[in-house]
Amino acid sequence: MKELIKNRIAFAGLIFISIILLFAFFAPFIAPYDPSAIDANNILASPSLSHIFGTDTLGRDIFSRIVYGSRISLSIGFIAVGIAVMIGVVFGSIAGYYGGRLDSIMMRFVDIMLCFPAFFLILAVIAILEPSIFNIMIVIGATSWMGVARLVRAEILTLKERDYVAAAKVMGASDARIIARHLIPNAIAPVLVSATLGIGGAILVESALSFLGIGVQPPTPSWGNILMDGKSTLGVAWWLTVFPGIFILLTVLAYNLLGEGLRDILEPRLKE
Amino acid sequence: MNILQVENLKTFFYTESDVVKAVNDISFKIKDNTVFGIVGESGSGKTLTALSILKLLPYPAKIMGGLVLLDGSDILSMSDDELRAIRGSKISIVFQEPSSAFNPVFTIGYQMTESIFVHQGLSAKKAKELSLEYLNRVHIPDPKKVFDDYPHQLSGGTKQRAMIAMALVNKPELLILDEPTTALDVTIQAQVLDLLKEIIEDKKLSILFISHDFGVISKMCDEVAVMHRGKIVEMGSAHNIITNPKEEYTISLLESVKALAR
Amino acid sequence: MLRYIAKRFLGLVPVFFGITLISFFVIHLAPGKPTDIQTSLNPKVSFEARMRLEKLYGLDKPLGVQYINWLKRFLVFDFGRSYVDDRNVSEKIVERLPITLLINISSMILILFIGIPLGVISAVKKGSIADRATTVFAFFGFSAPEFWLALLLMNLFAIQLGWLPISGIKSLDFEYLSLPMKILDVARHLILPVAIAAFGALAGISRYMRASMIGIIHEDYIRTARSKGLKESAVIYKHALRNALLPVITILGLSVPGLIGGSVIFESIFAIPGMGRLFYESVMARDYPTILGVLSIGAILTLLGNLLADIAYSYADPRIRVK
Repeated sequence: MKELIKNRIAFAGLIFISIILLFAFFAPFIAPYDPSAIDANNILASPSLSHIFGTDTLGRDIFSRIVYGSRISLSIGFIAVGIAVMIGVVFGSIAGYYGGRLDSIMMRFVDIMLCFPAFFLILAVIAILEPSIFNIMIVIGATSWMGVARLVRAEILTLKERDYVAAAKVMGASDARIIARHLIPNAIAPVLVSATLGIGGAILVESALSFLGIGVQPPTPSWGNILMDGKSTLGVAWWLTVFPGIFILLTVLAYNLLGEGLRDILEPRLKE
Repeated sequence: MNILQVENLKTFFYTESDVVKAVNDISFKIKDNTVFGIVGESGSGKTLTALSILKLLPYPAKIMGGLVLLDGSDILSMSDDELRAIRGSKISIVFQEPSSAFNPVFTIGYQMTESIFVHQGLSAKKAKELSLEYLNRVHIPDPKKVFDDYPHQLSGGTKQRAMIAMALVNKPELLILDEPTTALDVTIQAQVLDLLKEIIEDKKLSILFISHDFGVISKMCDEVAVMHRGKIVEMGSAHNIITNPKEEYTISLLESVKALAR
Repeated sequence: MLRYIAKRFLGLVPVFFGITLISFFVIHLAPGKPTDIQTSLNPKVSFEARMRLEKLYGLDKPLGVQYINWLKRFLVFDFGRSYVDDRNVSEKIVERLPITLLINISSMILILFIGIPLGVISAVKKGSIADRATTVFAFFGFSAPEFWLALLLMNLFAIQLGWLPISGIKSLDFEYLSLPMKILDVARHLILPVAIAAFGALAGISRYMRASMIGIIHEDYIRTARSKGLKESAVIYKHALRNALLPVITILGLSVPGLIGGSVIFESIFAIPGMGRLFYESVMARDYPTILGVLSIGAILTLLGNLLADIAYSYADPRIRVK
C-alpha cells in the first residue's frame, strides 16, 4: 500500500476512482436534479450556472444524468469483471493443476472463444436475449474471462511444482483444497492487475453498447446512452457529447493507471 | 612494455538508497604477452573491473576516478567513436555465459563476420573464410555447419569456443576472459582451458583472466591479483602467491580450493 | 517451414469446429424457439419466411442432427436468407467484406508503422520528454472511448473544418472521376475511420513495444554486441529490435478480433457499407441468419489472422523455425 502511494500516478488514479465511487454512492445528494426530470422549456440548454453541463434533448440535466449514470456504468464494470475473474480463475486453475489432456482441451476452448471478436459476440447474444443491465453484465463477463484463465493457468503451472504443494499432498490434502488454499492466493497478483484493467475495459464496452442503443436502455442513464443523443446533436449541442465522454475517458484512464501501478508493484522488473 | 596499466580505478554503483563502492581504488599492470589473473569471490568487483576497462558498465554503475592506459593511450578519456574502434579489435572480451552471449536470432557466422566488417572491412567472402579459419583454430569439428547455425542449436562448449574465435578474429592485443569456463560442464571446462593455453602459447597475446577458481588461475596465469570487496588485497607472481600467500584473505581463499580438491 | 505451416493449419481444424459449435450454441440461447421471438414480434417477417426458418434450423429434429445440418451448411458458407430482404446472407456479407478488410488492413499498417516506432523511441529515450509524451498519448489512446473520439474528430475535421468528407466511402460524383481521383476520393473518406480504428490498438502496441525493448536492452547479447565495437544504432536497431519485435508479433495477432469487432462502431458512425455496419443493422432488426453469418465469418477471419501471425512469428524466430 505504501508503494502505491509512492507511485504518484497510480495513486492519482486511485483518488479519481474514489471520487467517482463517491459520486455513485451519494448520487441522490450530489445530483442537483432528478435525472429523469423532463423540462420541455429547457431543451438543449448550453452549460450555465443552473445546469453546469447543460441539458439534453428532453431538457434533462446532464450533470445529474452523469452522476446517476456513474452508478450504472461502474456497477456493470465491477460485476462483469467479477464474473470474468470467477470463471477465469476456476477455469485456469483446473487446467493448470491437472494438466495433460484436460488442460489441452480446456485451453483449446479458450483459443476458440478468443477467435470470436468479443464485440460481435456480445452484440449477438444481447440481440438474442434482449438488452437488460443484468444480461449486459453477464455477457461482458462471459466474453472476457479468457485472459484471466490463461494468466492463472500460467501461474499455477509454475507454482504447482513448489515444495509446499508437495508437502500438502503428502499430508493428504484434497486437490480442491490445494488449489483453493495454496495455489490461488499466490497466483492472485497478475489477476488483480488484469481485473483492474478489465474494469476500464468493461466500462468502455458498456458505453459502446449503450451508445449503439443496444446496452442500457433509456430512460435509465448510463454514460454511453447519454452519448447516443449526442451523435445527432453534435453540431448544436457539444456538451451532450463532450462531458459524458470526458467522464468515461477519465474513469477508464484512472483504472488503467491504477492497474499499471499495481503491475509495477506486484510484478517487479529490473529497476531502471 | 605494459599493454595495460590501471591506476586508482574507482567504479561505484548508485542505487536509490546508497552508493556501493564496487571497485575501490585498484591499480595493476599487465606486461606484454603475459597472462594476468584476477581472482576473488562473487561480488569482489572483478567483472566490473573488466567492464570498466572497456567502459561497458551497466546502468547504475559509473567510473568515478582513475586511469586506464592501453598501450599508453588513455581509455577513459576517449570519445565514443574511439572506444568503438578499440572494442572488439584491440581489446576483446569473452563473457561467462555462452548461452546468452550470442544473439539468438542471428547465425554464429553472421555475428562473427559483423565484427570483421566493422574492424577490418573485408569482403563477405574473405570475412567468411577468416571466420571459418578461426572456428577451426578453436577446434570446432564442423566449422561450415556451425557458421550457419543459430546459437540455440549448439552446445555450451561449442558456443564458448565460437565466442573465443569471435574474440580473436580481429587479432586483439589484449583479451579479457571473464569466468570463461565457469558455466560449462567440468569435462568441457578442461577442454576449453587447454584450448586457451594453446592459443596463449601460439599467439602474441596478453590476457586478463578473471575467475573465482584459484585452481584455474594457477593453471593459466603468470601474475595474479587477489580482489576482495573492491580492493586488491595481494598481488604478485602466481607462483609466489600460491606457495607463499601473505594476506589472510588469500590464505582462506587458497584453503577453500585445497579443501575441495581433497 | 512449409511443414510448420501445414501443421499449424491442421491444428486449426478443431478450432474451426469449435467455432461452428459455439455459433450453434449462440443461436439456441434464446428461450423457446429462436423463431418465435422475432417472428411473432417482427411484422416484417412473413409466414413463408418463418416456415423457411424453421426448416433451416430443422427445429423439429434432435439437436445432434440440427448441429450436423448446421455444420454442413457452414462448410459451404450457407447461412440462409436474411429476414430483412430475403437475400442470401453470404451474398450480403461478400458484398461488404472487401471494404471492412480494406479498413482493417489499413489500420494494421498504421499500427505497425506508427505504433512500433513510437514504442522503440520511447524505450531508447527512456525517461526523456519524448518518452513521457508518448506514454501520455498512449494512455489516453487506450482509455478513450473510440466512438467518442470518432464523433469529436468527425465534428472537427468534417463539419467544422470541412477538410474531410463526413461519411460514406465515396462522393456523389464518384462515377465521373478518373481512376487516380477515385483512389484519392476513397482514401479521403477512409482517413478518419482508419485512424480512429487504429488509435487504441496503436497506443497499446507502442506500450508493448516499449516494454519489450526495455527488457531486451538488458540482455547479455546486447552487451556482447557493444563489446564488439558495433555502432550504437546497430546495437539497438539491429540486435535489440529484432528480438523485441517477436512478442509484439503475437500481440498483433491477438489484436485482430478487436479490430474486426470495432468495425461495428466505426462503420455505423461513418456510414460505411461494410460488414460491421451490416452486423449492426442485423442486430437492430433481429435478423438472426445475418447475425450468425457475420459472427461466424468474423471468427474465421480472426482464425486466419492468427495463422498469419503464427507464420510470421515462426519465420522471424529461428528458435521456432529451425528445429
